[in-house]
Amino acid sequence: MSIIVENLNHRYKAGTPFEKQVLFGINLAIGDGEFVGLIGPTQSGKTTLAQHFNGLFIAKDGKVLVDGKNLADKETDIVAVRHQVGYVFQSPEHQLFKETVGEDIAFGPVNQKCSKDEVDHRVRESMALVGLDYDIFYKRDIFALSGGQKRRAAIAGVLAGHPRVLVLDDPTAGLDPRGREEILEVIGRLHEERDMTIVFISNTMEDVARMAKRIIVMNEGTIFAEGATREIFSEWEKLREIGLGVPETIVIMQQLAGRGMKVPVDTLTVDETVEAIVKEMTGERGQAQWS
Amino acid sequence: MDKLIEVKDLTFVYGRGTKQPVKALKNVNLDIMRGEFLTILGHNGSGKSTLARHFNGLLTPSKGEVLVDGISVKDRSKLWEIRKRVGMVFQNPDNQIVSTVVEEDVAFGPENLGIPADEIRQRVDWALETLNMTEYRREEPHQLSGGQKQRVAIAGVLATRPECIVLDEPTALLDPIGRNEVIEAAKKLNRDEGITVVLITHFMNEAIESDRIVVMDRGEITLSGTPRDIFDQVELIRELGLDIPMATQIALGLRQRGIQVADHILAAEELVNSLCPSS
Repeated sequence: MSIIVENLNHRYKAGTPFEKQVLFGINLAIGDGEFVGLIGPTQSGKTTLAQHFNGLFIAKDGKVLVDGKNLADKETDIVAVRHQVGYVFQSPEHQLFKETVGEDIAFGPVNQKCSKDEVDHRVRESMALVGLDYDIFYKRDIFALSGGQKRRAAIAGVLAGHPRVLVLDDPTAGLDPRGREEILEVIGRLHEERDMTIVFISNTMEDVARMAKRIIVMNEGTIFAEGATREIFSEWEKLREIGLGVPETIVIMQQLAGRGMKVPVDTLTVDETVEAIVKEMTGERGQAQWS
Repeated sequence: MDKLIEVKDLTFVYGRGTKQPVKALKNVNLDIMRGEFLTILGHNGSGKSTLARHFNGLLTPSKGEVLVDGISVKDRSKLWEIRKRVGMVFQNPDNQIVSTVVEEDVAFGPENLGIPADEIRQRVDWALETLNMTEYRREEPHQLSGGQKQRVAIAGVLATRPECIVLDEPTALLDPIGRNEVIEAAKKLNRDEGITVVLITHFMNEAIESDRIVVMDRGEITLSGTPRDIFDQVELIRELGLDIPMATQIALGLRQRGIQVADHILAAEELVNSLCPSS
């Protein structure tokens, strides 16, 4: 399922003295089955843009097409779009409102008027997808969950609507390293095994580097850069200018390269970085240098 | 250095007297020294925030004792005395800002303490200057970036002239530069103003320059030591649901592959210096 944005402008409090334009002429296309990272400084417009993808905002100036359908058209069934494009808000655990995990996850399918069997099927399936054991967690009190478990329960609630696209707004914020790892694994699995299109908004560059294949960089309401993950992070000076960093792996490689070590400066993970340094250092020792 | 905060056999139970009481802290003992930069690490639900909320009397012990500058947090008549000494900054800056102008927001704390107007002026100017926020003093807080908002929140606490500032995951919702601004501000307050800093974080990199790290697990303090001591215990740290800094991970990977790397690498610069000494 593709998302296409054409010449999108967005103004908050339009028509009032407090009007403020926050998106300026955005054009982008996200293809079916892509994994896109959406990064940018705070207030760069990431969340506002992403909230157009499932009709939380309807474009008044410009177009947003989901699966070819213009969300501003009266014929477009916006409720159906919201099921197809699942949106996981920042700190989604704040939205858990039922007493038990099972009831909360079932809320969407019940509202979609699914049969009792279908509801149960979807709850089981969603819980399995996020790694929450049905027998253990179905009846568990929401308040008895850890931070990472709550967040997985919230994601399961969105998955129970059977979305084809998942938009996640900083899904690892505030989680401990293990909780962060669990959430990233779940997202990776949804993409790999379920071919879901993923839009991953994050402030943690190491996570984006590891997960996303392509990156869209927002700054001051415009698209600042767009490209393959490696290309984007190799432009570290430009990213730093707008208040973003690059993964620490790249910082380390740049400093090594600056001191004359012949290493690539675009490694995105710890393992890749270790490999590249080992290759350079043992290569040096093992091979005679002929001029 | 003398003790600013003493935690003695502290036990805290949420929902005491209900059907499902939860023991969040179990017999915790901890001394925080005046002028120390202490980082508290631990998985979600390990009791970090519950512990920190005793430091300025937001919570009172179910059992045991917490003394701030010798004053018990159980003595509710001394609550102002305690809160004058220990200020708190939380995760979400939007929930902590009360005014529509930055300098008025910073003045809110000292106003509530009944400080004379001209001294409030001095304190607000000083606090904003210390946090590098002077040029934004007339701005509306909601127009600022996340890092700037959080620095306004810290300035507001600083203007009450506390001895200690507790920062409870102050960078969790910030972008990389904002994160850096807040951590640098905390270090500066500690180094230049002599303020005791207690930092709670899930970012291991933010802990590496602390004087001491305390690791919590299921309501207890399981480890305490310098960043080097703590991050040397790779297996244990991971078992506790935490991780080691990225440069440390790379150093470890290299060592396993037979590359010589110095011990105790925590920061990127240390790794680079070890692999490629600058001439």
